[in-house]
Amino acid sequence: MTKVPPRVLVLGLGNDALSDDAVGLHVAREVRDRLEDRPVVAVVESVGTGLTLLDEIVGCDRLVLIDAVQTGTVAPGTVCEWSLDAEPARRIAAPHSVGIFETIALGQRFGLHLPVQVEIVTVEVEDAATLNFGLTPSVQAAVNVAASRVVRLVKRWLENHPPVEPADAPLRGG
Amino acid sequence: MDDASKTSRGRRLTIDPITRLEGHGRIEIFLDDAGSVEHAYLQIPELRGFEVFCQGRPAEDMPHLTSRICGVCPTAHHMAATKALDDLFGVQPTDTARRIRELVYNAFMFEDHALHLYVLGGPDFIVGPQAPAAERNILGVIGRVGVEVGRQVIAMRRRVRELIAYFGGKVIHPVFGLPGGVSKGLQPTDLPRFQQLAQDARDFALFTNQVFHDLVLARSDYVQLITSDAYTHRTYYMGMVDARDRVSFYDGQIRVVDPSGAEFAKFPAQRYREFIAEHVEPWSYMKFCYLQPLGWQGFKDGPGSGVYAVAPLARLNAAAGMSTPLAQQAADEYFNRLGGRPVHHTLANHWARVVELIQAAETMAALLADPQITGTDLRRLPSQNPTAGIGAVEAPRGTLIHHYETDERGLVRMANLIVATQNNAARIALSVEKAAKGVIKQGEVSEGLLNMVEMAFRAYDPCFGCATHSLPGHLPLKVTLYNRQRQVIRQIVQE
Repeated sequence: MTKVPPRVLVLGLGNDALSDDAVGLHVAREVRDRLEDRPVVAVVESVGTGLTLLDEIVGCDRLVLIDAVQTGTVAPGTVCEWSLDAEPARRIAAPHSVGIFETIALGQRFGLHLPVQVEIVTVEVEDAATLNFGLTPSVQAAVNVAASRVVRLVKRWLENHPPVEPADAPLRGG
Repeated sequence: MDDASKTSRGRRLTIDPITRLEGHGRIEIFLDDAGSVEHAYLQIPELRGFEVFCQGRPAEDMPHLTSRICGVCPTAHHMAATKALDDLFGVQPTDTARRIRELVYNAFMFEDHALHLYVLGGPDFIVGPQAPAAERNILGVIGRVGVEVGRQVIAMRRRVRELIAYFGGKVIHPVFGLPGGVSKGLQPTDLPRFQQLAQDARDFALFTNQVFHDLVLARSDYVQLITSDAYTHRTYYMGMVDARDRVSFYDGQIRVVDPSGAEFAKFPAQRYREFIAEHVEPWSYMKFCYLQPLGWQGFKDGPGSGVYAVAPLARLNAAAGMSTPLAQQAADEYFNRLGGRPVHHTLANHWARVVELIQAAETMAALLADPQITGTDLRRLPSQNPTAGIGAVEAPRGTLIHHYETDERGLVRMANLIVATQNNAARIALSVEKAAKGVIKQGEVSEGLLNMVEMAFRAYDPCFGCATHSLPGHLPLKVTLYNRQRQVIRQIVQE
């Protein structure tokens, strides 16, 4: 039988060699440490973009994305939550060929099982353009804050969605 | 774009084309007092600290480090870096290792070209340059080609990536190339499924060729657009060729042809500095490559200017032919239909990409039919003390050169990259300006017109080199208006 996918996917995005761009990866690691007793939750770090992420997100019911953001309007280290439902996809489209939202829409067009709910936790970055391993101090300090937000989102969702038998769970590949 | 059609005179426009581009970039268009285009530039954001990032690191780390700087073509950087290490340590890969590298590299080219054709360039041609913005995306493409084709595109891409991952471990950050070889061979038991994949890839490439004929070439208005003067520059072309001057992605000499198609130069990557020089402009951090023997004559085309191009259009021009039979057939039709060699129409890059897609698939099939591919002699050990090494490949977007110098312990002292988009930068600037001049008159700027300008550089598939995932704090398309003193007058935002 196909492996039953996690119902909740926490997906941290970023490039670990590009300073603060890596913050999503750092937050994901912290979230994994805090949620390790929850088998229906998967925490994945990915350097992928666009279509590459389709394979990651197929099969889950709920997706929490963690990514860096550079609005220039708030202080570095500021943590924000975005909901896909509340915010049209194009407003926060990823800067790559095909953003995560187009990827989800595409997968839905193909009839794949994709998350019905997507939430995004972002961290405002200071520097995401210098090749360097490591975060700037203000962004480093935000890792715990962002991880707490993610954990809270996941726990709240799990409380409202009690586990189902594996046989009823969606299969990867849709 | 509610405000976009308003007239703006004596202003500077900035287009921030986040959609469908790798990384960030924007176009700046300077209008004169009459509302005509004075200058237009493509601006690319700076990726800082490469030299410092590399200095003092063991040269053997470079394939892994350089593949990290770019999430778009990690395999190209990984391979160019690996070849630079071959050169640095004076060791050539074994026959089997070379074939495996070529297999992985052609698989990467195939995957990247397929992505561009359907996802990045597709919206322009398959959906159409004048289609509403809401339809010019991958979903619009699927709407035209059908859901089943869309599924095939996704499935084929996944399978090809699985092949790359089989050898490289990770597609995005491969761990695969070693000086003198590769880290993993091909098990005979896995051969049949990869042979099947190569056959399917070839069928897919031929199918894509058919799609391109049906949806693009069958339309006279598209063909007219491709061959229009607004998208035409008579420049030099550069690309890697094999011993018979045929298009080669993994290895060979770098060949340059002049605007008439005659050979101008042919040289091994190690001599790149004799032929490629870099020009600096105050308004851009990026260096503009030009042909050293001709000198920098400004942003202009013609035989006297050192401006040249790389990428599919340039590769087909710079070679005498394709290295595989079906690709050669496709190339023959391409040149016949577009008026013979060389083709100067920037938008023909998309068609040239289809031709290369076929060659990549056929090459995969040929390599997998070679008994050497499952050999077990995977590496030759380095034989010389390191001092300097240069390696080059044809990245999907054009010639990519890695150059390292080390101390006697093999620690990097200097690292220089010539990336594809840098090779193309001067010609892209020409294209953007010419397209802007062609479509913006009396300051009339509409979404459709801006898209025509974007198309001019999207054909090159420019890679902005940084794998930043940062969600932009602004919207997908931004036009900033400046007055002559470069003060921001207002911003127009496309939703």
